[in-house]
Amino acid sequence: MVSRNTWIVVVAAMAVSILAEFFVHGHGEHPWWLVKGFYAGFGFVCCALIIIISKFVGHAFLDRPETYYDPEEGEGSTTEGDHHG
Amino acid sequence: MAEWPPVLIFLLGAVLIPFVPRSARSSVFVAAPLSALLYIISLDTGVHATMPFLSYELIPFEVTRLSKLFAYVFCTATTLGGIYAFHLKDASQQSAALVYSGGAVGVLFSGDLFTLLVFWELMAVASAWLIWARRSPVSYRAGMRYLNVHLSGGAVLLAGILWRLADTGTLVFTAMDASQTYNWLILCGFALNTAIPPLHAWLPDGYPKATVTGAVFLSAFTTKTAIYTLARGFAGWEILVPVGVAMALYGVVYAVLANDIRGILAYHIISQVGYMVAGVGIGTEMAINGAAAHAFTHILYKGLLFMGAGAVLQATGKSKLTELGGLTKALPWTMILYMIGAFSISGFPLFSGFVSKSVTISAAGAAGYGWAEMLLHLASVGTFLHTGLKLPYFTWFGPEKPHKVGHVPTGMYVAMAIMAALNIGIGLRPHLLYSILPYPLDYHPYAPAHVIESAQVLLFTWLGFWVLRGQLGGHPTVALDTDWFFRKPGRWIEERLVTAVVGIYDATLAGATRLVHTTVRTFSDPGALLLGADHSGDREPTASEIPIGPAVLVVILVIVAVLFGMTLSK
Repeated sequence: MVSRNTWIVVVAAMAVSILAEFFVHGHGEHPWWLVKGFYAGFGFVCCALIIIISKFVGHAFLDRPETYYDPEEGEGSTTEGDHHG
Repeated sequence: MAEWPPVLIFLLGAVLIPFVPRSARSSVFVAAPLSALLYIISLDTGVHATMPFLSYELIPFEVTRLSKLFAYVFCTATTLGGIYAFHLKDASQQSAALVYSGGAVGVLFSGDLFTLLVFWELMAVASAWLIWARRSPVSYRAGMRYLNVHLSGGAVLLAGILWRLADTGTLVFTAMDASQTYNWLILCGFALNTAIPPLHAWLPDGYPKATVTGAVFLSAFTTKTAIYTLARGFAGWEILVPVGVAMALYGVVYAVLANDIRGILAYHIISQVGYMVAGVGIGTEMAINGAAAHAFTHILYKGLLFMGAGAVLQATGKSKLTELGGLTKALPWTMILYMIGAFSISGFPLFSGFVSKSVTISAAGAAGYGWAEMLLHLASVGTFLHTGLKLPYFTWFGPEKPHKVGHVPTGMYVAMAIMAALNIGIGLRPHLLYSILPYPLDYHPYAPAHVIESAQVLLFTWLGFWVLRGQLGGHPTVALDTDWFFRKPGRWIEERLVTAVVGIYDATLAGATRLVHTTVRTFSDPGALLLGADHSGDREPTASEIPIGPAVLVVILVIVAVLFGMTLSK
């Protein structure tokens, strides 16, 4: 699905985004800015947490069959687009 | 000198549409908000019209920098929505959309709470029509729930306004004081339209069931009008900071569970509006600027996203991730334009969301809300994850499903292209947006540290998605949300109370009818009572068919009576 070239571009961009930090100063408001690659880790970990926690909460408590409220809501998508009069 | 408020241009358009030839309706639709936009650009700030009402003075037309900013983007969104819906041959839907957006513009320019309430209710009714116009039973019921919820919210708002009037003697819409109960009622009324949980369920319930073009309008006005009212009346109410942050995260969690593409986008409206609510709660000039700027760009990128999702629905008749997939070849332009909206909402550098969202987040940090700053960053990860990765991946890429892909009208592409251009334009020239914000703003979104930080977050979110993408596919489920409280107990009450009462009524009616029939038949044919037989047929009943019990009983009773009479007469 994702071609070799796309991978090369994305991995290169990841590397550049982390390396660039070594050449930039400022942004001293937060101590974590001193940790190089903090926001990279933040992005990855948060993404994983969002998926895992949401899916767990969904499976454990929230998910119901599509027809739970209304039998007609389960019949595929409910219409063929707009009414064109 | 009194001037005419811009809402009248919208209402005039709405009234005209049914009376002009069908071929001219879409042009009238587009002309109305466009001319309103030109009119609004020419307006100076200040009160433009007042109107006596009972012993009060209403201010139906007051312009502030904040209302002007919102009005620009409302008119732009209505114009582009009109182009998107140019193919539509449904005068009622077109008129309703104009009344709805006109009502939103009316709220912006209301200087008093009574005028505001009138336009508020107008919006509720007109927007419900955009759900009903899909003309399916599911949409009918969803629209009914939507309208009931909004009218209830309007009633709470009215109660607050009247109470405030009784206490202060004024209807003027000024900053609210948190020590008064009635101001909390007004806040509840506004919070419902802001879709603050638990008052939010009308949004993800209704929007995915609206028409293709209706959802584009819905995504723009109700929540953003409410943000405007919060910014005007409730700036600096600290409770709105945690509430806004919770909203931003709430939408993210539910967007993981949603299966309908417009359902995912609907939950992300809640998430994005959370940033604005938090900004209003922080209440500093920078934070209000951030909330206003984010509302502005949000309307543009969310409109574009709903247009893209609508185009998929229009072409395939499907809107669920479990039914979509492999559409890159069939709808490539829709995907490219949608992705511009997705990059914008996710805050990619060079796109509109980057220059607006970061103002609010930085304002949170600057005002000492470090925790809010981090949690809003977390919500941003979720935004990119769903809107930028999950939805497009499972719609355009992912396993191919059999589709009959129909035609996407040209107007849809034109509107999406203009929206996309605006999103990129704001991303490239943020000072154009910053210069029309309510307060002066000296902010540089393209500071190298900020760009690097955003790039890292986004790229590594992509990595997280890629590793866990197997978990993220849609499931044919619905996730319980607070609409349960008015959908399930409603059904339960209906079954226990209404159905049961109707059942008793039916049984009583049937019993009474049978009694009347029996009585009439008995007295019209007393022989039947004695013989218990039905003489209507020609055939004589056989001996075994004649029930003799009643006859014997009558005979015995007569004999007893005769004997008793003879005894007495002695």
